[in-house]
Amino acid sequence: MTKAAQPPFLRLVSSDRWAQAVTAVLIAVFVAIGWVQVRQSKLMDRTIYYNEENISWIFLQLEQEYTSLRDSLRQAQRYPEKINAEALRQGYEIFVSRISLVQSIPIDRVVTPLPEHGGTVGLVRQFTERTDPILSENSSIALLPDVINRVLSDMEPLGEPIHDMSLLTVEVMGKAVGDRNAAAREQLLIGIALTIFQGLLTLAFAVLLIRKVRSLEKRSHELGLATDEILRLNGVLEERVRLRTLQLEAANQELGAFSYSVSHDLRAPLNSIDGFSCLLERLVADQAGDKSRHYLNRIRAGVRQMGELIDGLLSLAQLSRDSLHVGPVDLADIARQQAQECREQDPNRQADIRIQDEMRATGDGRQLRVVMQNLLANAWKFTSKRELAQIEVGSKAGEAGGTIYFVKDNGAGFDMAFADKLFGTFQRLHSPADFAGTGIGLATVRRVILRHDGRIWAEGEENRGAVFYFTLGTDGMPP
Amino acid sequence: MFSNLSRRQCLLGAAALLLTSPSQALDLPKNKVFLTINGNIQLKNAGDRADFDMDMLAALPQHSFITQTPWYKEKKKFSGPLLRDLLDAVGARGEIIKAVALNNFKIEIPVADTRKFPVMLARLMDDKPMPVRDKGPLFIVYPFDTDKALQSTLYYSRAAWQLRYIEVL
Repeated sequence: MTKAAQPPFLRLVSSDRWAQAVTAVLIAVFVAIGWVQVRQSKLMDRTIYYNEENISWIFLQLEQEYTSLRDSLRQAQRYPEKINAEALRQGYEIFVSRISLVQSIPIDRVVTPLPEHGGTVGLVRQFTERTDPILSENSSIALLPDVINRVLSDMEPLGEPIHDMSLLTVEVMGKAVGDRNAAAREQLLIGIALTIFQGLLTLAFAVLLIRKVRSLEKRSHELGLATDEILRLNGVLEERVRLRTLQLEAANQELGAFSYSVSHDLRAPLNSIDGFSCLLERLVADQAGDKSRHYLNRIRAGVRQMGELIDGLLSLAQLSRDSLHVGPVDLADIARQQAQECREQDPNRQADIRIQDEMRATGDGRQLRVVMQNLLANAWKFTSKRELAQIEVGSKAGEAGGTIYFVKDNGAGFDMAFADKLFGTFQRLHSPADFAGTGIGLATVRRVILRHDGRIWAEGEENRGAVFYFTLGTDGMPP
Repeated sequence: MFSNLSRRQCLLGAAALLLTSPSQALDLPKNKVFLTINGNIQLKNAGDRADFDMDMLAALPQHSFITQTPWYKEKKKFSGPLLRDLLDAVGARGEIIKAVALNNFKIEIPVADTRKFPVMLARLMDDKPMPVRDKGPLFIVYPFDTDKALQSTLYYSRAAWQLRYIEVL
């Protein structure tokens, strides 16, 4: 998840190292508390399985039954006439049952068995093996005084080891219980400390969170203020743009009007010059010498050229000012008409003009006609010195997906170093002596293409021809 | 003789016979006495106490269960009458019984335990009579495996072995 895509809360926490540290420590504390509780549970399991006190009790019982049997035997020794064989045998069986118990209980699950236990239990076992044939329930040997004496003398030495074992067990178990209690107390204290620590951490986390939330609120407020300011400035800017646009439109209109008025007003004196030159020519027709006639021709040619210039300027001003009337246009159709006109103007020229069958476009039909007329007329003009003029009009798909229209010729061409001057007003790359022209045609073409949101450029080589490309709209779509 | 009694007298007589018959049902032990019950009991067979030999205990409804105990590493099968059946057999009225072992070890058991759990007076372990040296001949056993609550020191200590006397309090 990128930072920007995170919800505000997560961004808030992850961006804050303190919050991360507190979170990590909190998790560690939780783990520690869990560990303490598991340890406590294990301690309790051991205690619950078989309480340690009972183990001490079992050893005490062994000692007690030993003492009880020994006392009964002593009693029998002292009063042979009162020997109760059944009671003695039962006492012996009870004593033996305590030995089995000492051996059968799973003492090692609670404490490690003591080596002393094994020695004493071994001694007792040996005693019972010797005594079973005499004192067991199944024995049929008569318990006469000498038998009693023998058993008693065999039994007496066991008293001290059994007593020691009993005491040692009580001591060991007491220690085990003490250790367990100490461990439990220690774990309880650790648990309490961890809980307090956890509480403090939670508090710290809460404080951090509150501070962050407040900071966020503050930032949000500031952002709101900034947004308001941006909106306000935007409004001011839009207002300025609107004013500038209005001013620009007004200036454009003024310029257009000025250009039109200048062009139009220039026509009147020019017509006068041409008219009076014509009258003068007739008046002095017979008397004028060759020189005078030549001067008059030069005056009339100058006037004609100036008239063409004014027509061009008028056209340029007109096209810039007129609004666009967009609709479907077939550029191939326009090209064919223009080609026909060219051929009619100069029927003796050999020309191979190839025009694509159909070149559908969308735009202002009248203005696009001016474009095609200018480009075709240029091609026709600059191929005039070729024996066979080759002109091609077509279209192709552009790399960006739009349509590129082109007009190609094998005429005079141009030096690519001056390619950027081609579309400037009054810019000419050839002398009027070679090719007549005003230098306004391509400027007009460029103006129309730009008004259609298109682009125009040219490629050429001197004496090898030229290609003019243009598009309409950024994607070849309607402007 | 019966022809002289009314129908009502016959019914009353039968009811009286039913009520008093248990006291007459407690047999006298024919062999060695293994268990003596005294205290708050209605039915006795030897003075103020009730003596049982092994045949008398075997004559009560018999039950078996297998359970783990703290005294053996492996599970053991115990068989014998239920303690509540035994107490019913002597018409015990108390709420607590005191179990006394051969060595005079004593432990008190609430009678409620015998109603809540099938507490057994086991006389066989793994289908064999228990000698004294192996906690016999009588052993009060709880079905420890059936209830987690029973696996505690409280109930282990109530499981009296080498049982000899029961006093109903």
